[in-house]
Amino acid sequence: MAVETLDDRTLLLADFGVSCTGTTSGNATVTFTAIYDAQHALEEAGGFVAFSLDQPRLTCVTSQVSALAEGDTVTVPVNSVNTDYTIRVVMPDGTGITELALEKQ
Amino acid sequence: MSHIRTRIRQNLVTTLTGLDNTGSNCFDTRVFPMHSSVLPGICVYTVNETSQYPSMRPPRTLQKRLSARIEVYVKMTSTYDEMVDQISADIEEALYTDLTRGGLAIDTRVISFDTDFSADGDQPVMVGRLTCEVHYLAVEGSPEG
Repeated sequence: MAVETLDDRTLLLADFGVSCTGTTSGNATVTFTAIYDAQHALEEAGGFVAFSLDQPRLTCVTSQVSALAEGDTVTVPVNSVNTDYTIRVVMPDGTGITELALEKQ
Repeated sequence: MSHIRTRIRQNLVTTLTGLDNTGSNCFDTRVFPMHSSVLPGICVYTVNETSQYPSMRPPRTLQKRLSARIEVYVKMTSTYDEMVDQISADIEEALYTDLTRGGLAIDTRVISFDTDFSADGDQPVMVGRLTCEVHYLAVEGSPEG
């Protein structure tokens, strides 16, 4: 048995999540709740110095975003400002939660 | 007076400052991370130097070969590869305007180019690395020329 159940995580999403709107390549709209996070990171890309940047991610319930795929767009309220992203990596954790790696547009 | 190597590196930075796509984002031996407000940008480093002694009696003339690394940093949603290529073209054109580096050197040659990528952040990033050889003469015991 996992330490956290999907129900536990769903409660966290309800408390701390924001309402996001995804748009599929077929123009279908998907509304879901997700926790937005943009951790700062230093990213090495082969140069002498690193890039200083953010890593925007959405943590959401897998069943709510099953229609979304890499390349689809999602609008996220970031500090109350709607911000457009493209989904670049879909990362299901196998326990009902999916993390989406985002690219800022 | 500073070392000829320092003056050549400073000449490279001056030459590469103000290019169309990078503007004032050209840095001499930058060691701090590149953040959004300085991108796209160029960093110049002198990484290696070799000397040859073509004459026998001191003070001998030194034939120096200075290797400079010019790094192009780009972060954007698409066409980042085209941007790195465009900035590289700007760099090659700028370097060619004075191969003597303001009279300090005999020749300047861009001898290699390679790249790396990453996509862990909010937008793809790419680094283009140009290796540039600067040939110059110095006299033994007089590194400041």
